[in-house]
Amino acid sequence: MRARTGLRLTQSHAATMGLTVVVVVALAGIVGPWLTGSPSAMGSRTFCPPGLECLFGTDDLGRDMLARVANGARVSLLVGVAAAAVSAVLGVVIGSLAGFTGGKIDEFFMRVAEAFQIVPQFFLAILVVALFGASLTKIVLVIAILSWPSTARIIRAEFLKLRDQDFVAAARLAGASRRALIFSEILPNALPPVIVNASLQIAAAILTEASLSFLGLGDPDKVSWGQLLYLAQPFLNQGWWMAVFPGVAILVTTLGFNLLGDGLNDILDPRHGAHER
Amino acid sequence: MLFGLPTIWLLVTVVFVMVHLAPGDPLTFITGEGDISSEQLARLRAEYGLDRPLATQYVLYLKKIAVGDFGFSYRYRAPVLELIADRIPATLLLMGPSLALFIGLGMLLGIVAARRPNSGIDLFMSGLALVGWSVPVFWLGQLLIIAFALKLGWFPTQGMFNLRAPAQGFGRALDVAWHLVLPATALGMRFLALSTRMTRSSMLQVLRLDYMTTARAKGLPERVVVARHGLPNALLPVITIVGMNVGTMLSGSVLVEVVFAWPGMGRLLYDGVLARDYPLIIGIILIVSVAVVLVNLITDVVYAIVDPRIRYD
Amino acid sequence: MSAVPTLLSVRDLGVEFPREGGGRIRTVEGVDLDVNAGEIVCLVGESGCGKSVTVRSLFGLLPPPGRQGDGSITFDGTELTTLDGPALRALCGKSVGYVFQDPMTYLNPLLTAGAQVAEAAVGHTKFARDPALTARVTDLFRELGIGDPQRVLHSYPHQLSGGMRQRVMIAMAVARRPRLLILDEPTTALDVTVQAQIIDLIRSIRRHTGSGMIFVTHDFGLVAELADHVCVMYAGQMVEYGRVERIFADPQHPYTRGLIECVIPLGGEAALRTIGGEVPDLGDPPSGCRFHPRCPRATERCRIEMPPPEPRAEGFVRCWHPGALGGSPATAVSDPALQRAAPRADQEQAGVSVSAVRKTFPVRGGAFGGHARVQAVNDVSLDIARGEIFALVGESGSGKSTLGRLVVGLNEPDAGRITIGGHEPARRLATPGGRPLAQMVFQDPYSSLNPRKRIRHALAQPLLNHRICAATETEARSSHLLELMGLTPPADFLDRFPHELSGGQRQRVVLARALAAEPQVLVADEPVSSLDMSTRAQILGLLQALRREMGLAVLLITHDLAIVSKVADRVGVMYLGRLFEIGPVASVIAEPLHPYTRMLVSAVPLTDPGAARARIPILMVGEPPSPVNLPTGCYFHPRCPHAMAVCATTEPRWREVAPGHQVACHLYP
Repeated sequence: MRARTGLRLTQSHAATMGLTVVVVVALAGIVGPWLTGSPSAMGSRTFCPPGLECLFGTDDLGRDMLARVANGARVSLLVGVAAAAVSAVLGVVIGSLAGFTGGKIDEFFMRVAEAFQIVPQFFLAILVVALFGASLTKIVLVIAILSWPSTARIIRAEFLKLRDQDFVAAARLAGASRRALIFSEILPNALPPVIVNASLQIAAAILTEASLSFLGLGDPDKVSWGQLLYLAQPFLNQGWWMAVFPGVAILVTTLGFNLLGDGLNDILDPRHGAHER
Repeated sequence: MLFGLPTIWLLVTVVFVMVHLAPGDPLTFITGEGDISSEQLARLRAEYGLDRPLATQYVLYLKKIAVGDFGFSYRYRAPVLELIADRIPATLLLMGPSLALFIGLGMLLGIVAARRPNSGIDLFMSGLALVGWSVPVFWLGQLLIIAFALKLGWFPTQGMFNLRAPAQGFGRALDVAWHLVLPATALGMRFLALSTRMTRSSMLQVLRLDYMTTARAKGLPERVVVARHGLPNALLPVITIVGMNVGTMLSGSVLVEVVFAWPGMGRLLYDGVLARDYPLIIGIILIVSVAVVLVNLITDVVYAIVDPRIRYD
Repeated sequence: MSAVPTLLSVRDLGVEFPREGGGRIRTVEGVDLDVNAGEIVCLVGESGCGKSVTVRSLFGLLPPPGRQGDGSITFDGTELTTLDGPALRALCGKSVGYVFQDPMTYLNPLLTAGAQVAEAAVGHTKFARDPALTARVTDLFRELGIGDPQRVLHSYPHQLSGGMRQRVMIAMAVARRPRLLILDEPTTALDVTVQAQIIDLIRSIRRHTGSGMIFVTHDFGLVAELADHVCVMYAGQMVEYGRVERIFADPQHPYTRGLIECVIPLGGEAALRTIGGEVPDLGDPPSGCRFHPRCPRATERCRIEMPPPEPRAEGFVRCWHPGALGGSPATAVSDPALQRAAPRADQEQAGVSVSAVRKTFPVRGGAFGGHARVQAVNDVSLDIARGEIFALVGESGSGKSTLGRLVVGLNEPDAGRITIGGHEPARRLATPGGRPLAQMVFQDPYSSLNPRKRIRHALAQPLLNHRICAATETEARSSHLLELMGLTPPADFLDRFPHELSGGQRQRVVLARALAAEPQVLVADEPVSSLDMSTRAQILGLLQALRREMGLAVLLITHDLAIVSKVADRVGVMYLGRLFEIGPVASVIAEPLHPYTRMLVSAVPLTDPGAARARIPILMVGEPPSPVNLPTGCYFHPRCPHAMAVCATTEPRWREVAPGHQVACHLYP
């Protein structure tokens, strides 16, 4: 049959939109802080409502909300991407091993994964931070450790499906070593759903970090969006803008990653495309 | 089915390990930072076997859990289990409407969206669902407070009831319901979104399946085809998601209870975190974990009953 | 015009789909056919020719975004194109019965068989409280040859065997005694012996009900067995329609002629024939008459314009150059490249010796608690000589694929021994750096090539891993192999991905890869089952040439006896993991000894309509047994029409009844 046109991001509107949003937010996070000034400089104009003078308003200590939101982008994105990355690596390694080897190893890991998934992750995260203290690294690790199971399950499912395919047997007959089978033959075929999941996990990680910070369990030195919302809670009446803008930032960023993930999923769906036989 | 037990055991062990790995004197995790005399400290040290080897402590710990002793909060001067039992009804009250929205409205919207995929209605609903899924729960709470409580004044800003309202009967119920509206909306939005998305995608998948064609070929009107053949198959996977998301819902309730000062278990946890009341924190987390595992077990059982492929193998 | 009123009359039917990049494309166009009451029209064509789409669009069962284009469909006097959706649906339910290909996916897994048939009969699924309805469904099951109707009534689809499920589908279709039955490849997913049962059932339905039928298939043998009229389709266009005898005796359209010539008959001396070129993609078909790129009679007009239907002897043909003159597109298969290949330098005595081999697999989960084992291969012994093609024949569950994997070394036998030239293949494969003694060609050419790797990689992998040549030589070596397999120019193919090639091309690549490792034995597991009829012969011809020129021992695993009769030297028949008959192909097919072999031979559709109708089929009885719970004595006895008392207790021993022809059966003590 004919050649299929290659995977193109433009095939899905959701993917293009999501990618655009993500890129914009990333740029804001990277470049923004240089443009907006200091997020911690306190000023005399407290509770200045958003307008021409103070674009996003100022908070109870006169700090500029625009600068704070822009800086928050860095932290939140960093946490989101790092957590998803660690989780992905962990998940891929464990899932591949489990899916390829099968047997007792597989069962063991899957039980562990199920346990992690059933557990209310947020509560465990609270426990860890409460016991061990909060720092950005710890938060990233906690989120990663709690979210690797979903990646692992996806990769494992793909491996189970692909392991029995004829091309793997053919590769064995062609002399491929075990390592080559896992990493060179099967893994490239198993990755697409993982990539989709990664995007969704970034969104989830950003939300989790924001939630932890909102409860006061965030890294006190780093001003993340969640922290901003935590600080805004007592002042909802006097300065609604203290809560609205950071929240919008979270919403837009999470939306972007979710859209991207959805779009990628649509592209990878083999039934994508209007043409049916 | 008894697979739930190993999971619970694993969880309990993980908590134990964490408590002992954490920096600081483990006794603090038993007493919190409350006001305790030194004889009591010594007694507790002996009771929990803190001078004994780790293995013995572990066994003691397991024994206590088995009899329902989840610790004692020295701040509140009450067993943790009692404190939680006191607050659970409020949390359940908060979660109830969320669950209902989730199962009822969400599925309905998902079905409607799936009927005409990529149409205006579908895109609108899917878009809303996506936004609902991306919104931080607590921020939504804050927004609702700002808009509907502070600016418009339609609903109260905090709490579960008004001190001046009647304490019993229908008046009380009404008062609580009025206070419930905003927090329940905040909590339920996320699950409404999840349910809509899942139902829609499940329906779209099922509508394409071969046995739908068979049903149509029998001459059944489309309405019947979708209702009798499409829905049950589509909703099956969504039902299992409910079980998996109870944990997430509980997490969400913590945040919502904090924003709205709702006197539930989540709020208790938060207070405990602030006050470093470790027995309370640990106890709540243990109980919640066990409860979630149980709910998942029940969901598995329900699924096995409903799907004949699993029932008769 | 015949005296019988025409039940269904289709003229110039077209189906449109949206095109990638905007606009619509007429994937199906120009279909004309007539169905009379009590007659069967076979709609025949290769895969992807649009027959399923056509047949579904008749009564509005096309999934969107497909849409029926122009054309007229007259059913029982009503013009269907004037009816709206609900009216058409209601008419379909009342007067038409559809039977689809794969009963597993076409039955709702959450409803019992009884419920689904009841729904077909009366529109709802509640039969339990209604004794009259229950009786009606039970009677229907009995009429359709379901021996245990009560059990099936309350069973879920996954609890039933393939043949049983198909009977349930047929029950659903005939529940309201429809005027028209439409069967879309109803037997393609079934084993050959089960197919024979279902075909017999269909014949009996035709006899007893007088319904008209449209039977969609790609198998010309089935056409000869069943059809009164034949409608031939190619690439979405109807090319010819007429009475079956006339179509076989005097095909007017070159494609029809070529296709009939490509059909592999059981036995006979005719050479393998194939039609050059590939079946086009319905998403982007050629202009005008879509067969023109492969047609020897093609002229400029053929390229520009689709021919209108021209009446021919109670039928139509759409061709600018119809008739017997003008040549056939089918040519005999020959591979000159292979004939020039140098014979192997080392003349080792490399045959395959299989001795008392057993292999079991654990059964996962289920009601057995994970401890049951499936006896996939049970005490099988056979030998394959160098330069011989040995065919292993059997249906699903026979263990033939497992045996193939054992010979190649992918699995190790639990008992017994397999040697190739004195070495054990499994051990050789497990040794790091060991060059495998055998290579395998798999059934599905798409899944046997890594979709993300180019062809270059697929060929280089064995060359490099087995150190057959240096890294610098792999390109030359790979190109040479591709040329041998008829893929020229090789440079065109090396950098492509599998999805860019057609099924036949992929299978050639798979063969090339297998040869790259210089094996002594080639195991081909259903190498042509997923290929179009017009291209099958090419691969089979390659196998023959390989055996001839390179002296390879070939184990050909297949369920298709016609292929066996054409290509193989010796054949072995397996059932439930045991061999029951073994011998030279000519002898086994002409004089099958074992009752099972006789059934297999009888189940092969004949390609002569006269002979097909005259033959009395030998049908299998009963249901396939559970592979975990094997019968005692001779495995086949529960389903054997000749079973005797001794068959239930003792395993039969091998007896040589004719030269080289052995059988294990109590009929030959």
